[in-house]
Amino acid sequence: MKIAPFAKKLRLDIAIPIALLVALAALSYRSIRASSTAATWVRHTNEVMGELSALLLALQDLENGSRGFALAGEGSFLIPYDSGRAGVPEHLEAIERLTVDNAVQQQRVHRLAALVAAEEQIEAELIEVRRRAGAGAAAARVAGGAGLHSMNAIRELIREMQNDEVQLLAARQATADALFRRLTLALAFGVVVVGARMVSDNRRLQRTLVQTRIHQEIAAAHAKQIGVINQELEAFSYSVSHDLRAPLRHVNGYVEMLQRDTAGQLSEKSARYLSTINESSLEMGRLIDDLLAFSRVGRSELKSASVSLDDVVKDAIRGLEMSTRDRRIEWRISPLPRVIGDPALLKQVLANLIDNALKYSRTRDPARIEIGSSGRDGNRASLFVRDNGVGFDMKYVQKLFGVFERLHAAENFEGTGIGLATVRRIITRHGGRVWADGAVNTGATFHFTLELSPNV
Amino acid sequence: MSLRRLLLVEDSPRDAELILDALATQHLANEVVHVRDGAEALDYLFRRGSFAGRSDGEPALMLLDLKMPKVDGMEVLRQIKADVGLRVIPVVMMTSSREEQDLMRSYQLGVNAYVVKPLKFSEFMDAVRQVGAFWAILNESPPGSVQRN
Repeated sequence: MKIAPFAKKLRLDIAIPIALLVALAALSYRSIRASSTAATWVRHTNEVMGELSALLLALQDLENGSRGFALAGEGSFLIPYDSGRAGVPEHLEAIERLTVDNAVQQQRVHRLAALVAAEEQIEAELIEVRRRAGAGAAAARVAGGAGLHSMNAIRELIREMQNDEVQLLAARQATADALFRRLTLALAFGVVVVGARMVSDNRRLQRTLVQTRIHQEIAAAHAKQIGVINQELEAFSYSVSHDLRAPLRHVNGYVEMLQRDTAGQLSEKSARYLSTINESSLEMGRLIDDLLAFSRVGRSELKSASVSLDDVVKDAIRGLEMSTRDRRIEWRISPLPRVIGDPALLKQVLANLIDNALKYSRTRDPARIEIGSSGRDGNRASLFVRDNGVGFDMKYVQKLFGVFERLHAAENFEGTGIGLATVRRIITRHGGRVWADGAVNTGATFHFTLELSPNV
Repeated sequence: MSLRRLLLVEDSPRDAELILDALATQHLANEVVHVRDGAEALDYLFRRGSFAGRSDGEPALMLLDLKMPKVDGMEVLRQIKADVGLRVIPVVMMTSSREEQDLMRSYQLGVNAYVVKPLKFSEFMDAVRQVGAFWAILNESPPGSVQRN
C-alpha cells in the first residue's frame, strides 16, 4: 500500500511522542525501583544501627551491673547485669543476620562476638571474685582495668560498623538521588519536547483545517457557480431552440408561399433570389440544431454502461445509409473491444467520425474506410477511423476539433463544422483523448481512447 | 369526407397563418377557431368570458402551441386532461423544438401527439396534413362534437 506523504508524516508525528513516552516510562520505573530500594536500605541501615546501639546498651548494663555489684555487693546490681546479658545474644544474632550480604561487616560481627564473649567472661569473673574473695579483691580487679580494655574495643568496633553502615546508606541514597535527578531531567525534557511537538502539531492541524475549510468553501462556491451557469445555459439553449427557430420558420414558410403564389411569374433571377433566401434559412436552422445538440452533449448526464463497439459501429453505418448509397465503399472493420460509456453518445461519436470519413472520401472510387483498435494504454483502448479521402495539412490539425472550424470550403464539403467538436466533447467527457493525423490527398486518421469494459 | 371544426391555439400570427394555409391547402377542416393564447383557449373550452354561452360543441381536434404568453400550452393541456368532459378531445402539441423535457412532460399530461414544427415549409405542410388527417378523419369524433357535411 502506498502511503500519502501526509499520512507518512502523521505516522512519524505519532511515533516520536510514543517512543519518548515509552523511554520516560522505563526511566520512571527504574527510578521508582531505585528509590524504593533506597527506602528499604534506609530501613535496613536503621535496623543495623539500632541493633548495634541496643547491643552496646545491653553490654553497658551488663558492665555497670557487674561493677556496681563488685563495689557495693548489692544484689540489686545484678538485675541490669542479668537483663543485659540476656539481651546480648539476640542483638548479636540480629546484627549477623542483617549484615549477611556484607562480607566486611560479617568479619566484624565475628570479631564483635568474640569481644562480647570475652567481656561477658571478664564481668562474670568479676562477680565471681566479689562473691568468693570479697569487696577488696573485686575493687582491685576493677581498678586494675579488667573489662575496660575489652569494652573500649567493643565500642570502637560498633562505631566502626555504624560508620560503615552510614556510608553505605549514603552511597545508596546518592545512587537513588542521581537516578531521580535524571528522571526529573528526562521528564522535564520529555514535557518540553512533547509539548513543543503538540504545540507545533496543533498549529499545523489548525493550519490544515483552515486550508481545508478554505478549499471546501472555494469548491462549494465553484459548484454553486457552475450550477448557476448550467441553469443559465439550460435556459439559454431552451430559448434559442424555441425563439430562434420561429422567425427562421417564418422566413422559410413565407418564401415558400411566395414561391408558390408567384410560380411562373417571376424572372429567373428573382426566383433564384427567393430560393437563396430559402436555402440560407435552412442552413441557419441546421447550424442552430447542431449547436444545440453540441451544447446538450456538454450538459446531459453521462450514462455508464458496457458497450460493444462492434454493435455501435454497425448501428452508426446503418444510420448513414443515405450517404453510402450509390457509392463503392471498401469497409475494413476489425473486431473492436467492449468499452465503458454512454451508448447513445458513443454512437454519435462513431456516426460523426464515419460520416466525416465518408464525406471527405467522396472523390475516391472506391472509398476505403478502416475502423480498428490500435492497441491499449493501461485500461484504455485506442481506436481509430481512417479514410483514403482528401486528408488535411497537419499544420491545421489544431483547428480540426474547434466549433464551426472547417478546413474545406462548404461548397466542396457540406457541413456545419461541429461534428468533430462534438466528438471531442463526448470523448473528453468519457475521460478519453482525441487526435488526428493525415496529409493532403492521402487521407486522414482520427484516433480516440475509451475505457475498456472490465468483463473482457 | 367528413370535415370538422378545429381549435388552433397559437400566439404567433405568422405561425397561425402558415398553419391555416397548410390546413386550407390540404382541405382538412372547413372551420378553424383560432385563439391567441392559453387563457383564451381555456375561456373557449370552458365557455367563459367572451365565449360564455357558445353552443357549437367541442372541437374535433386541438392544435396547441407550447410557448405562449399568459397561460402556456402545458397548462392548457393539464386543465383539459383533468376535465372529464374535455379530456376526450385529441390534443396535438406543436412546438418549435424537440426539447426532451417538454416532450416528456406533454406525454405525462396525456397529449395525443407531439409535433415539432419543421423549419422547412413543405415539411411543415406535411406534418399538419398528417396530424389533421389522422385525427380529423381517421379518429372517431368525441361525443358532443358537431359534424358538418
